[in-house]
Amino acid sequence: MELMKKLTILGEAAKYDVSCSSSGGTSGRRGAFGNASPAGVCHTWTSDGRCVSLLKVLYSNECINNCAYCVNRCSADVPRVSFTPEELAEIVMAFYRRNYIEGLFLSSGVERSPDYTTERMIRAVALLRHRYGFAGYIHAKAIPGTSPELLYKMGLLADRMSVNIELPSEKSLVRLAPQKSRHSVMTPMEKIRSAIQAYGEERRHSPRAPLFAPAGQSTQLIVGASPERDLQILRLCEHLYRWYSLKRVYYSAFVPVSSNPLLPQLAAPPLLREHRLYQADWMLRFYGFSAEEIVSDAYPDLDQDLDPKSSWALRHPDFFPLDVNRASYEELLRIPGIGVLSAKRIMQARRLRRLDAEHLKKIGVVLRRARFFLAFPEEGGRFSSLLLSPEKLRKELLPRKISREHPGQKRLPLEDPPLLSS
Amino acid sequence: MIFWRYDGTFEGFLSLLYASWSRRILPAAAAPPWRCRRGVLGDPEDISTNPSHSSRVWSYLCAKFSPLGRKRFYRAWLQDRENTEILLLRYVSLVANGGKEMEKDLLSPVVRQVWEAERSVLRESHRLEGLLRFRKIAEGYYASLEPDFRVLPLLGDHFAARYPDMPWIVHDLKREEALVFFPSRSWRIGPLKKEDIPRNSPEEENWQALWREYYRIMGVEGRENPELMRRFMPRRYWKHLVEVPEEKKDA
Repeated sequence: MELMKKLTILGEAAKYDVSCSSSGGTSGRRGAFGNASPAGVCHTWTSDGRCVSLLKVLYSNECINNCAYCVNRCSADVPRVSFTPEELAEIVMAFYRRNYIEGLFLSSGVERSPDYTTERMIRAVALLRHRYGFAGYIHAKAIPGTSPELLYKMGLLADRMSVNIELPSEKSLVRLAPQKSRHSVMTPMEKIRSAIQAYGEERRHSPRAPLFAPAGQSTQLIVGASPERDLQILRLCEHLYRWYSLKRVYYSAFVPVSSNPLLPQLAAPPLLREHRLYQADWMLRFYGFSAEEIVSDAYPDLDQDLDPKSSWALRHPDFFPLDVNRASYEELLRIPGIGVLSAKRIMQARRLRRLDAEHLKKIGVVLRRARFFLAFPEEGGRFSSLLLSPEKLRKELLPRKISREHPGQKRLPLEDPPLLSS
Repeated sequence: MIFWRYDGTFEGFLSLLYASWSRRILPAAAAPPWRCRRGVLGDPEDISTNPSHSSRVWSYLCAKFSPLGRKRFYRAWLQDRENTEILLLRYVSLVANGGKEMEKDLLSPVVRQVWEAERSVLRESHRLEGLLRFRKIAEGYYASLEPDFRVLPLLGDHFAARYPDMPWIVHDLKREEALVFFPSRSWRIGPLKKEDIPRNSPEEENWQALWREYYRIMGVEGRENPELMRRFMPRRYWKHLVEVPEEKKDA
C-alpha cells in the first residue's frame, strides 16, 4: 500500500522532534467537527514512554540543507517521498475520527526553497480546515527563511507554531548546520511572537477577530550534540520564555543518527541530562526560580544524581527551615518534594488548623525529602536538617532506587515523571 | 446486618439516602445489582427509586453543599466501588451537620476519601478521553471499554463536542451500559448487553493496520523504557487498544 510506505518514511523522519503537546488550544475555533481540548489529551505511549498526542509527520523528507545531526540531511542516503494534500488530509481524518490522535503536527524537510515548502504545507492544512471543516489541533513548523506573508498565512490556520533552534549557540550552528544561523531562526520566531500578540489583543476586543496560533509557539533544543553547558542552555531558555513568550522549550537528548566526525560519539543518548533539564525548566516556569539560581558560573552543569530543586536547597541552607504554617505559597514551592498540588493543599488545610507532620501526611504531602526543610511547632521549631552534615543530607535526598538493569544508563528517578506532554 | 440494593442510577442512590434518613438507619452495605454478591450479609433488601424522594434529597444537597462540593459528591459516586455508597452517606451527614467549610477539611478521613475518589474518577475519565478507540461500523462509530470506574457520564460531553457530525456508541462491557450519540441530539446512557458488539465496516482493517505501523515506528531505538510506558498506559487498558500487538495483550 502506497500510503503505508509514505507514512512509514515520513513518520520515521519526524519522530526525533519531541514536541507533542496538544494543550493550550482554544475551543473557540469554528468548524464542522473536531475541537482542541485546553488541557490537551495524550492518546497513546510508545515503547520509549513518550506520549503520542498528534500525528507527527513530515510533509516531505526532501531537503536542501545538510545539518549533521539530522536524519534527513541532503547527503543522507534515504528514500525521499512527499505527501499530497489529499493523502495527508485523508489520514488525519481517519485517525481523528477513530480517536487515535488529537490532531496534526506537520513539519517538513526543505524541498527546493523554504517558501515552496511552506506553500505546500499551507495547502494541506487549508484543505483540512476549509474543505473538511476540521477544528482539531494543528501544530505547524515554521521553516527558517520563509517569507513573512506565508508565516502569517500559516499562523491563521494553525493552533501552535514552532521554529526549532536545535543548537544552543551560534558557534555550534555554524559547525553542524552550515545553512542555518541564529538570525535565520530568531527572525521567524520574533515575527510569530508579534503576530500572536497583535491578534491576541484584537481578539480581546472582538471575539470574532481571527485566531492566530492561539496555543502559542514552542521550540526544541538538542542536548548533547554540541559542547554547551547547562548554564548556557538554561540562560537561553529563560530568555526565550521572557522575551519571546514561548509556551514550551523541548529538550531532545541527541540520538546519534550519523557517524559524522563533527558529532560526539555517544554510547547512549544523554537521557538523564535531558530529564534534569526538564526539571529545571519546570522550576523556571512554575516554581518562580531564575536561571541564575539553578546554575551559575560556579555550577555550570546540573547535578546528574540529584534533582535541581534539591541541589538548590542544599546550596541555600540559610533559606530554611520554613514554618509550614507561615511560609508563603512561593516559599513552599521552593521546598524539595513539594509541588504545586501539595503547596495548594497546605495553603487550604492550614486555614482550618495549625499543621504538624502527621497532618501533612494525611493530606497526601510526601515528606521523604521535604521533612529536612520544614520546622514544626511541636518540635519547638527545631530544624531537623541542621542535625545532618551537608554530605549526609545530600545522601538522604538521593533517589532510592537506581536500577542495575541497564548498566551505564541510570533509570529515570521515579519521583518526577518527565513531563513531555501537557 | 442491613444490606440494601438500589437500581444503580444516581436517582436511585438519592432515594436510598432518603430511605436512610427517614428510617434513621445507616446500612452496613448498599450496592447496585452488579456489586451484589450473596455473602455473609445475606439477601439484600431492595430500595426502590422514587422520583419525588430523589428530587427532595437533591434540593436538600443543593442547600447544604457548595456547587463544587455537589459535583464532587456526584463524581465520587461514579467510583462505583465496594464502600462508595456508605462513604457518601457518611460524607453527607458530616457536611450537613458541620457546614460547607467541612467540604474542604482534608484532615477528616471521610472528606479525604471523597476527594481521592473524585480524583481517581477524573483521572480515569481523562485517560480514556485519549485511550478510547473508535472503529467504523455500518452506521457510525463504536468503541468498547472496561473502565475501573463508571466514567461514561463524564465522557459524554467531551465526545459530543468532538464528533457532533457522526453517530457513535461507547460501550462499557463491564457494566453492560452504553453511551449513545446521534447528531443534533444530546447523548444518553442506556443498557447494552456485552454480547451485542457490532461488526466492523470493510475499510476498518486498513486504517487499523496503518495506525499499528505508525505506532510501531514512533518508538525511538536507544530510548526504550517499557516501565515508563506502562506507568502511563497500564496493562488493563491494552485489551481495547488497536496499536498494542495481540501477543502482548495476553502476556
